[in-house]
Order: sequence, then C-alpha cells, then structure tokens
Amino acid sequence: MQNIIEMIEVSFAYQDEPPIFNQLNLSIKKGETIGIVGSNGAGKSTLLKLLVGLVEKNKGTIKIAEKHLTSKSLQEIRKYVGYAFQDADAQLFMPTVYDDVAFGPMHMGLKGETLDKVVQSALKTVGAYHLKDRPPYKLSGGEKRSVTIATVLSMNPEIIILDEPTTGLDPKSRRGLIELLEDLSQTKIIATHDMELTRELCDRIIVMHEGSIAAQGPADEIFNDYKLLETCQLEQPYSMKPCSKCGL
Amino acid sequence: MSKRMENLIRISQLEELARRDNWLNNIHSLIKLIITIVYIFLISSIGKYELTKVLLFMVYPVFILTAADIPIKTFVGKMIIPICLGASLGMLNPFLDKTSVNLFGLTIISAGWLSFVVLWLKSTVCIAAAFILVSTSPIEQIVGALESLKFPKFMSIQILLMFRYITILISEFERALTAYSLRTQGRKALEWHVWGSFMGQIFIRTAEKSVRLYESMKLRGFNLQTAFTQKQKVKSIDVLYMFIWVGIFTGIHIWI
Repeated sequence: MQNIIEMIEVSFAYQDEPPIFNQLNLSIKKGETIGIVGSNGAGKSTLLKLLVGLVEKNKGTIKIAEKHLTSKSLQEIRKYVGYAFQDADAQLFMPTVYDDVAFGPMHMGLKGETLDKVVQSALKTVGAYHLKDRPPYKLSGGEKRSVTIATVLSMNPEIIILDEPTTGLDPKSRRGLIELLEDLSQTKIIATHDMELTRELCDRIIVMHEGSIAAQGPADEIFNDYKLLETCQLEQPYSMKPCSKCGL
Repeated sequence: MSKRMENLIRISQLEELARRDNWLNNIHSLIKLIITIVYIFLISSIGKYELTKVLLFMVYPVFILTAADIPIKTFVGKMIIPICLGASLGMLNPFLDKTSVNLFGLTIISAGWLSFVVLWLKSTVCIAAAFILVSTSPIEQIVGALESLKFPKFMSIQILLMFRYITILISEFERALTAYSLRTQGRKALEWHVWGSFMGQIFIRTAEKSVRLYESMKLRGFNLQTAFTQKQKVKSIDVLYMFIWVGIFTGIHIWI
C-alpha cells in the first residue's frame, strides 16, 4: 500500500528553544489508523501540527499524498487533511452547529443544495443531526466532540488527525466516539493518553519520547514491552493487565 | 454559566436574526451599512436642544424593529447596558447648564435637562441603528460591505475575528472570576491589587485560545486574501430602499 504521509529527516524547534525533533522519519500508509502516544511534552501535538503546517519545519521533507508540504501547497494539502483540536471550543465558533459544519465546505466553494447535502451527511455520520440548530457552546463534551469531527468530515478529507479526542468525555460518549472512529474509512492519526483506545482502534502505535520515535508497532507488541513503557512513562492498558486476584 | 453571562455571550442571537429569510435581511448589506452611516452621521450633527428632530429620527429604529419582526426582548436585553452608559454621558448637564429654554413653544424647562435627554436619546438611537444593522446582516456581509467602501482590510479582519472572539473572552473571564470567587469566600468583586495580574492572565489565556480559533478557521479553508470575494449583487429595490431612507433623514434634518 502506498504511503499517504512521509516525513523525511524533519527537524523542528520553536523559536529560541531547544529542538523538539531532530531528523525525524515517519511514514504512514493509506487507510492506516495510527496512535501516537507519549508523556506530556513528548512532541505529539507538535508532530500533528507539522502535518497540517500550523508550525513550519526547520529542515527535512514532509509529503502528504505525494505533495510536498510548503507554504504554497498548504491550502491544497489542508483539503486532504482534517484536524480536530484537543479543545473542541477552539474549533466551534459559529452561531449554530449547522453553520459550524458548513464553514469548511463553504470556504471550499460549496453552496446551496450541495452544501446542505454535505453538512447533513457529516452530521448524520456522527449522529449529531438533531443538534444542527443548537449553539455549539450549549452542547455537552461528547456532543461537542462529535460535532468537531463532523466539521472535519464535511470537508471530505483523506486523512483525519485527532488530538486527544477522548479528553473530558464520559464513558458512554467515549464509547460512542470509538465506535464512530471505527466506522470511518479514512487514514486516522490519533494523539492520545488513552491507551485502551489505541489498543482497540489502532493498527500501529508510535511511541514518542523526548522528540523522537522511541518505538512503533502493533499495540500488543508495544504494550508488552515493559522496559519501553517505563522509559517513556507510559502505562499498560487495563485490558492487558492480569487480574489482581487470580493472576490471569 | 450565569444568566447574565449567558445573555451577554448570546451574541449568536444576533447572528440567528441576521440569517433569517425576510425582506429586510435580503436588502444588500452595503445599502444597510450606508443607511446606518448616514443615520449616525446626521444624528451626531443634531444640536443639543433639538429634541423634536431626535424624536422624529426615532422613526427609523421603531419602523425597522416592527417591520423586520425583531424580538423586543432581545433588543432590550442587548441595549440595556449601552442605554445606561448613554445616560451617564450627559448626567452633569442639568447641573452645569441652568439656563431656561422653551420646549415645543409651550413649557419652559431647564436647558441642562433638555440637553441631557437629547444626548441620551441620540446615543440610544445610534446604538439601536448599529444593532439593527448587525441583526439584519451576517457579520461576513457587513465586513464585505466595509471592504467595498475601501475600509482597510486589516481592520475589517479585526472586526470579524473580534466578533468570533468575544464569546471566548467573556467565557474565559467568567471562568477566572468563578475560580477567584471560590477562593475568596464567595467575594465577587475583584480586589484592586488583583486586577493587574487577573486581567493579564485573562489576556494571555484568551490570546492563546483565539490563536487556536484562527488556526481552526485556516484549517477549514479560511483565507484572508479571499475571505470576502463572494459579493452580493445590488438590486434596484435595494437602491430605492436607500434613497427613501436617506431622503427621509435629510428631510427631517433640513426642514425640521
């Protein structure tokens, strides 16, 4: 399968700060679901931001769907990549849920019936059609998260990037989100501290540590490497831990 | 969230009104903007004792509020603070200006009180006109109309982002105020020595949030260069509407 994302020797540092990434290499195949895990400050969010050009690499090459990510190609590439922020409030700013979901496609030039169809379809996919006339700030955390994903889906991206999607969700909303993500066929990149989610959803886990990729592989392989988990300050998912009473 | 904060944050009410499909909302935003500018300009040039003129100028907001079916409750809710602030503008007039003037040729009253009332009404109707504009035209169209009048792009963008950003500012302020109140035995008013750091923190937090908001807009295709390229077309009915109102305003201003 072809690579949809390629990062070749990418280096990055915020201004006047030590480098976060030094010659980072990463490739992601089309249709893969990738979990990015790591302790706070490991570089997960920065990595995601690099992929949509919210921060600019200092060195190296980033290719999205075989296009080089440069300031000139940024607008084009952002049509391929949908990004859902960790803080849903930062993503939802229009007066109603409908308007918010329509914001992206409208700026892509859609209008009238076509726009309406796209918005309806995105809202129905995430099960939030009944919320279409509500103001976003009145929604619950789970509803906000679903609408945030609808704002991304309405632009029909090939890649969906989610930054900490389950933060602040109650168990039912979290379950709903996992089921929703399972149903989406796009390439998904999820940065999270929710190890269970990565085990359930992701084909491959990438472990970030101090700005580099410490390991990558299938969830069970990663979460059985106790030394790696300890070094990277991670924890095995509860579903993999033996029962404290019977030891099984 | 408190009711008062919720009412303030409900700037979206204005957008909901602006997106309704009715005859006034369908008038070109540039036309409504020009009418509003002319109205505010003429109101501002009314003399401090010309109560009759101000009262006649009130025909515009009263007519629009009725004809466009703008809910009075929403209007009063949004206007209450500006009306109170407007009253404070001329509150010293009754004490400073104690000459007597003839009102409608019938009664002699204190000129200070008269100028106070005139100033208050002038500020109220000006704010009402601005309210009518934003509740009958989506903010993007108003900003587009400003662009058509060669208003500097960087300023029109500021207005647009401010409109989006104000809810964040208010909700962040309330959150910080609640945190303060919880640690000061329910005291709601800020102590003077806390003001500096409190406001500084609010500014930093809201600035960070507004950057993320702007990034989110950019990621969904928003582009400063092409933001307002989808212009509406001016119809002859729009031009007629403008001439009628500008004619009425000019008539009142010249002949009364």
